[in-house]
Amino acid sequence: MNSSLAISLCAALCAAACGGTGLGADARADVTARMASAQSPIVACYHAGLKANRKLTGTMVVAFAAAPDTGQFTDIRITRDDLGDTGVRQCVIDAVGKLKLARPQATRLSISYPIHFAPNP
Amino acid sequence: MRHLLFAALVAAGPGCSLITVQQEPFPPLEIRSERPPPAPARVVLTASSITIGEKVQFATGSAEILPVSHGLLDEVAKVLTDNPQIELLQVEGHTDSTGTAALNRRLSQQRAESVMKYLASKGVTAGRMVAKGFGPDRAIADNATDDGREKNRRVEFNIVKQGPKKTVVRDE
Repeated sequence: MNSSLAISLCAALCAAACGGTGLGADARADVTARMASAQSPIVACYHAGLKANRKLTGTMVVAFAAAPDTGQFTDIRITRDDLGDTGVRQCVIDAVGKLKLARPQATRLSISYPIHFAPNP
Repeated sequence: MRHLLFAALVAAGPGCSLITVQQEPFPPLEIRSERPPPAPARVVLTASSITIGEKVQFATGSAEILPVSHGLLDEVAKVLTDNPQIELLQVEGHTDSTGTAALNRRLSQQRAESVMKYLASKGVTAGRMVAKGFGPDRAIADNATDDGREKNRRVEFNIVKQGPKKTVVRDE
């Protein structure tokens, strides 16, 4: 066995043991579809925020994990929040926390998902 | 070779946290919402008064203004500073008919003065205001009902004297 084969094997073992933090196309599509399904409740979060501050706009990045086997979205946190509205923030965390993948993966997935908020012109 | 495999297995354990696979960014979820209509103004200047959409709240039986009303009174102060043509404003205190009229007149006078002092603390010239407590004398609703008494307990801002509209010039 030459050294390049050994290194490849080494990398494969590492990735398998670490749960494979990269996302395949199917998993990406599933995550995107789940987030899209949360659009209505997140719009409601934003609408409530706009009542208090009509200038509320910007990007929020939600980081979370999809649990192995169940696909449940867990460990949700906000890693960027231009809006700065704690009510909207918590509301989005709650909305994302209700989601789970339609096709759960065998491994835990780590996801960072941006959400753009803007009022209708 | 054995050494490499061993190294891989070692890395697969506690070394996992050191391995980061850069995730291709997801396209953002676009969230759009109608802006709700602006809330109606709490403080409105009319030809003869400054009307307020909320009540000035006082501590029970006292002339102490509750902090919840500070924002409202700040808006009244701004109307006054923005409208120097209002030369004299009467800050009026009114009560319901519960208790003796004399006591109510005294309390309403103290509350009107308290409001006037607050406005002065916000930059309104004290000489532009006068405080008057009417007690229960100028009821606007039925004192026989809770709702009527609630309406009667109030502060009003009536313009006594005003000149022609003046343009406010502020230094740059």
